[in-house]
Amino acid sequence: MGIRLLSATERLWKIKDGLFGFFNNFTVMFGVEIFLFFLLIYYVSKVLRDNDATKLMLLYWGLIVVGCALNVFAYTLVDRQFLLFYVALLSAFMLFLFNVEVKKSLWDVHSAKTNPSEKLTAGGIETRTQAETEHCITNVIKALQNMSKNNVGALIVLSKGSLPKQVLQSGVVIEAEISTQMIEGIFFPKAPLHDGAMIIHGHKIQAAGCFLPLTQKTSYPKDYGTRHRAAIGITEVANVISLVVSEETGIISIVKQGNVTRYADYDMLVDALKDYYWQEMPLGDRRRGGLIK
Amino acid sequence: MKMGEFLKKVFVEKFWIKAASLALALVVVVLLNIA
Repeated sequence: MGIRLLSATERLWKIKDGLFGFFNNFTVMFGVEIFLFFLLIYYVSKVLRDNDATKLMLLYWGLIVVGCALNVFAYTLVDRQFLLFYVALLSAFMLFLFNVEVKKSLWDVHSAKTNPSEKLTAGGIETRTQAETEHCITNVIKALQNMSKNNVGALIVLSKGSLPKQVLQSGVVIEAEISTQMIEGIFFPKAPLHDGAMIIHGHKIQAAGCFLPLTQKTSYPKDYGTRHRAAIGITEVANVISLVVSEETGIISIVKQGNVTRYADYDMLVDALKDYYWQEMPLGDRRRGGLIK
Repeated sequence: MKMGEFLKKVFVEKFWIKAASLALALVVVVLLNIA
C-alpha cells in the first residue's frame, strides 16, 4: 500500500514537472492534437446530445475522466498507448450506438442549411400571451373530442424541441397556427398525412405524417395498436407528451414517460396541455395566475 | 427570440458542451505527451 501511494505521489510529481515542460515546449503539433481530440469529443457529445442522450454523454465524459485518472494513478495498467486507444474506442462505441443517426447526419451535411426541419430542432419557442395559449389549448381539445366522437384515429405529440431530427424529417413540415379545423383536416381518414403523428411545438403545428419509434415492451395490453405503441415509444426516447385517439373505440389517451392514461376527459386534457404550456409561459404570465391551478 | 434567451441558448446549451470537450481534449493530450 505504502509503495503504491509512493508511486502515485511520484507519478503526480512527474506529471507536475511534465505539465510545465508541456506548456514551455508547446509546439504546433500539440495544438493540432488538442484540436483533433476536441473535434472527436465534441462531435460524439453533439451526436449524443442531439439524440436526447444527455445522460449517455455525461457517462462518456465520465469514462474519459476515469481513463485519465487511471493513467495518472495506475500508469502501469493504463499507459500512453492504452489511453489513446481507450478514448478512440470509447468514442467509436458511442457513435456506433447511434450509427443510423450519424450516417444520416453525414448524408445530410450538404443540405443542412436548406432543410427547414433542421432549424426546427433548435427549440426556439416564441412566447405568447396567456389568451393565445388558452386558444391553442381549446383548439387542440376540441379537435380531439370531435375526432373521438367520430372514431377518427389521431396521434399528437407535444414536443419541447427535444425530438430526434429523424422524426421531424420523416414527416412533412407544416409550421401552421394551431386550429381545430387544421388538426381535424390532417387526421381526416382519406388525407395523405392522417397515418403519421402530428408534432406540436409551442403554439404551432410543426409537422405531420411523422414516423415514431414503436415501444418494444410487451407489458401493454394486446389491444394497443401501432398508433398507441408509437405514442408510448416516443415518450420513452424523448421528453414529450403524446395524445392519442383510438380509431376503433374513440378513447382518448394521454401518454407521459411511457405511462398511458386512458379515458382522458376534458379536465385531464386541460391539465396535460397546461402542464405542457406551463414551461413555455413567461414567468410574468405564470405569476398572473392564468395557468397556475 | 429575446437576447437573454439567445445568450442562454448559446452559453448554457451549446457553450458548455464545447468547453467540456475542449477541457477533456486538453487533459487527454497533456497526459499523452508527458508520459
